[in-house]
Amino acid sequence: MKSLNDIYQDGLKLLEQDKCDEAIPRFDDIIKLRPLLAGAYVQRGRCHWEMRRWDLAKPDFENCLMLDPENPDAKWTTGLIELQLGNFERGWMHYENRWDTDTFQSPRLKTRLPSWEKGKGYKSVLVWCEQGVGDQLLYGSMLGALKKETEKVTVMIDIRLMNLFQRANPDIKFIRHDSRVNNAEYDSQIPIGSVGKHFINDVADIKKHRSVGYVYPDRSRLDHLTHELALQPDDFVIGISWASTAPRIGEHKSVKLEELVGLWDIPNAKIVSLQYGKPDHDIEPFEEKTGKIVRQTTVGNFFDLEGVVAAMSLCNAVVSVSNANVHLAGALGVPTYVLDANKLWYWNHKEGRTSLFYPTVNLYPRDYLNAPWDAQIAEIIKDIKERRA
Amino acid sequence: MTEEDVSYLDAKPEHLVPMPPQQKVWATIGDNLELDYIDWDMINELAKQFDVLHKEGQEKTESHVICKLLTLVREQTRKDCEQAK
Repeated sequence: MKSLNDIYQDGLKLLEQDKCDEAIPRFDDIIKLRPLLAGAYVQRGRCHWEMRRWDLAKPDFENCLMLDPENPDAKWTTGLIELQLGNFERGWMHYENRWDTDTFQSPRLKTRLPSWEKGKGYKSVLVWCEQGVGDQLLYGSMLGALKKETEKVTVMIDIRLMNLFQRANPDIKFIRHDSRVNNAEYDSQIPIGSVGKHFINDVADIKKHRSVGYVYPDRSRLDHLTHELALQPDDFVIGISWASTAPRIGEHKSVKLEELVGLWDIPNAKIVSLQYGKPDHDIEPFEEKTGKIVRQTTVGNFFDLEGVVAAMSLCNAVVSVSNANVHLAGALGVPTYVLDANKLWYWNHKEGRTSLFYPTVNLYPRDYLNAPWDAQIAEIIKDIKERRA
Repeated sequence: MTEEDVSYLDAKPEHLVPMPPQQKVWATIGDNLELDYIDWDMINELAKQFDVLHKEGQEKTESHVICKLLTLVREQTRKDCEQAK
């Protein structure tokens, strides 16, 4: 007979292999025998969360918090679920616990400045970046709202985004993420991911406080790329990216390039790669196998986000998995079709298919953790064809 | 200024996003539209970086491509000149 620890380890192994529905009975058994074991609730909650059963995931994390009120992972995940479900007050409160978990890897600001609070009369705030480029773009849409509350706003931002943000937001100062800042110039600070808690307390607040078109391309880069891609007036340019390189969850967010082959059947489609990382590893075998062409530009899609934005501006549509490109396209206002792996709370807020954060971004959520993408891809192709017609 | 007077991101090496290569002037064209200045050391260095990145299947910047192209053109010109002799 297996020990409780063996059953627990079996459950964890199955969860790591994405076999969530097989892992759940293991954790059920443990909870039946040891109903005070907080960790078992966390793991079962994770399984339900991965399978999009948020109504079942939430009580598991709540049980864990009752047993272990300071468990930072349970607090953070509860925050994410609450944000996903639109319970913003509780969501933002628990979201702040991200800094206490081992899994949240973003560097923190070393500072003696107090935290910025809305309505406390702070006059100059230092906003500092956290997480990836996509998160900085998403939360960056609320910087305009912050500026209305505070005279001076300076933002430490990923160096790749600095010029893009600065060009479109002249009344806010953007500085590189590795700057050392003199405290005497500010009376407060806030991480960019915490700006939302001061402005979004209701789903309706998202539309109210988001910015639209808050990045735009450099004209000279646009002209250069138009020439490079030799675009013709009849071309229907579709920018694609099929992979996410996010640690831990990137694989689940990605699709195989081959699965997107139907895009080439759209009349006059010219498919341009916006993929960063090592796209050649996918493109060469794909072209060889299918005879289809993926156009690549001289833009380095990882470093040169100015170039990526210029390329996206030439696109009639962007089709992408949930990665930084979606946020760039959304901030730019390009029609975007997202294969959404359900990993991120903010994609749950939409009207029909349209994201509340980005009005040109349309979301096609995967049914569950490792469900096939066929239906979502077919629907995207149908919707693009209909829009063209 | 002391450590207490400044704020900065407390980044560990694993947090660091690789930075894009520093932008330096490595060639200028003069008012007479002729080559005014060219830094071959830097071009050679970037061309070598191109070779490594290419071998590893990694992404290259526009500067890497231009510098590699310059070294190839220089080599070809040298061969053409030798043949013409």
